[in-house]
Amino acid sequence: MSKIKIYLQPTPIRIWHWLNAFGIITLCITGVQIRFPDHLHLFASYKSAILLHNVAGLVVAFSFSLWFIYYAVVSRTLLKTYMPSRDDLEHGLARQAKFYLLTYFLGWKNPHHATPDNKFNPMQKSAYLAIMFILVPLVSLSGLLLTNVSPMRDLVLMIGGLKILVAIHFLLACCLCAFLFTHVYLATLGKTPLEHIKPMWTGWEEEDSTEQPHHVTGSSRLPSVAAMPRTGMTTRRRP
Amino acid sequence: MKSKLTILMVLTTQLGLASNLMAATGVREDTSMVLVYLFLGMCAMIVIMQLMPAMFLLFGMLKSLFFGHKGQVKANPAAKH
Amino acid sequence: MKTEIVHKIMILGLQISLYTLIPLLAVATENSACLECHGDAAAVGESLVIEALSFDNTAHGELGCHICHASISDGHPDDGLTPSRTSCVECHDPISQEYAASLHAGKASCSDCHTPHRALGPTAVSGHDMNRQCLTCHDHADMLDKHGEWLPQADLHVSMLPCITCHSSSDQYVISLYIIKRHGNMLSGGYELASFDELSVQSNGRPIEQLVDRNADGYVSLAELRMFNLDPENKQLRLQGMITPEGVSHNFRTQDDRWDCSFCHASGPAARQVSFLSLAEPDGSYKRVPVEKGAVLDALYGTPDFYMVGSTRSTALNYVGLVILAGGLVMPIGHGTLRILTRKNRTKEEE
Repeated sequence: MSKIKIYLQPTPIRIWHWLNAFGIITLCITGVQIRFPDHLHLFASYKSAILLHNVAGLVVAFSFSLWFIYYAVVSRTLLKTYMPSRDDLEHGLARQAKFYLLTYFLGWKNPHHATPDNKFNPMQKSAYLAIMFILVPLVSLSGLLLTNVSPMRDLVLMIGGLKILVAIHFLLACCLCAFLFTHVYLATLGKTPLEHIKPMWTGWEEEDSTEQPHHVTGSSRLPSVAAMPRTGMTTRRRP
Repeated sequence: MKSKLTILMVLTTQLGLASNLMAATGVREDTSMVLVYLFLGMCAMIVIMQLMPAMFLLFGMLKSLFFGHKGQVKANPAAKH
Repeated sequence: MKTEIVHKIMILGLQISLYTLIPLLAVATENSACLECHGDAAAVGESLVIEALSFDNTAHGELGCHICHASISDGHPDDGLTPSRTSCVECHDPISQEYAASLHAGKASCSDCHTPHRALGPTAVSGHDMNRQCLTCHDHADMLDKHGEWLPQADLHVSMLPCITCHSSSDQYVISLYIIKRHGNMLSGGYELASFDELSVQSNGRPIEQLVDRNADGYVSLAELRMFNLDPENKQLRLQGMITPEGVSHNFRTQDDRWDCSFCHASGPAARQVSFLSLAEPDGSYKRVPVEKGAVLDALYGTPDFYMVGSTRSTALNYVGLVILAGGLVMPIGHGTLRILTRKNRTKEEE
């Protein structure tokens, strides 16, 4: 059985993803020291933790805009990629949940197969929609306000005060961190633990050429998608 | 990769200890930006490593465009030796 | 017999109160004799006028004019003699020695910062007024630049702290809560410390502390703080917190430990338990009302706009955060366990 490679993750998305990952992990760790300095003393000084947290926040905000510009302007697939369809909501979510919670353990195949045109399963779409459109923007904005309070003090007061802003920032950050645990775990759920993680780093996903996608939406059948000129790359034989 | 991580961890710990020592001895040298530079360095590394395939492709294309012919000429005498 | 004892006790009480009152009354009459002229700018001129209201409440006022101006005779001012002035060192020797060793020595004399007729203890002066003394010489913009060289959010720190919190030493630091008022609307007006008169108007003639201390028990509970902050009547008012020193030394310099943010920020909630509500009095001094222990650590509405990262976090929110994080671990731990237990099902499939 020969293998084919699909170009699943284009370069800007890979850069965004790993900057984001490195940034968010740094933010979580520095964040813990910033909130609990009397319990955790990981970084040299409180000030260095604060500065690192601020810079990491800016990097995440920057990489977020890279993500947004790529999907919204360059590939113009933002909504298509992240917005669950009617079918996703009516059947897809339940199907995917059933897989994760039951049929996965019985050894069944994942009902969703990632293609460049249909990267995410219905549960991923819903989760990423909430995270990328609500959680990350809110955490970033509240963080930006906290990075320099004085110039936007009136805005802080409109929200209800510094403490309320901090509460929002802290709780949303906890949500993001909780998602991170789940995200990393689910990423290891392929045939091998690295099956889904590798394409995120290299951009290319390997698969058996004889294998047909299990769940095909619309015209996005695998062979035609893989050979699509939009990505600028064609399907290559495994070297 | 593992050894890189170990080096990084040792470096971070060392820097942490160093700045603590400085605080203790009363020398006010501000080392709090070191971690920021380290972080930005890592970010730059991520970007460069991700751009590497594209850069190789670009170099390859440029090479074949401008030096493709010369390369062949050079390669020929070498092959004769 | 019994009534005789009661009478005796009453007389004794009267005597004791008279002994203590007489000197005070004497000082008061002596002061008021002086202030008859010196309280009136028209009579003595701007340079010699003394504000009776603020002078009477100072420790100096309680001592009486004669203590510092001993040479004044009954013939004053017709005797034409310039009255003597005592020097501050006479009473404040330890302070002046400490000051002489500080960076300020020789650059500013006592009277450059203190007006003896308005000298108040550190807890009776607002943080804002403390800084006014410093700003006479130290330009605000210069100070912002200088602090901005190393201090994150220097503008916030400089405007939210008395300089002496970092530049002098004190045994204890507390949180003082001041009521500040928005002047104008959101676009045009900033917040300024609310004056006694403004707060009197707001409280409709009641004592101003009852704006916050609603049950008038001389103690501000967390519930009262929340009520104050959530009351729509007070939407122009808010509480501003400052870390203020309880006693002030005169060794002005940057204290070594203040270069480290952890002096205030990494001290944890245990260090930020004591706070006071500090309110303007008619004489320009400040009165303190004790606030419930740990009130500034309340999650949201205790002091909605006072937060010191690293030291006034709310425990309740920490637990909510912990529950959220635990929620994130359900999949890795729960699913992961089942995944390991059922791994045989999947290897079969792959074969």
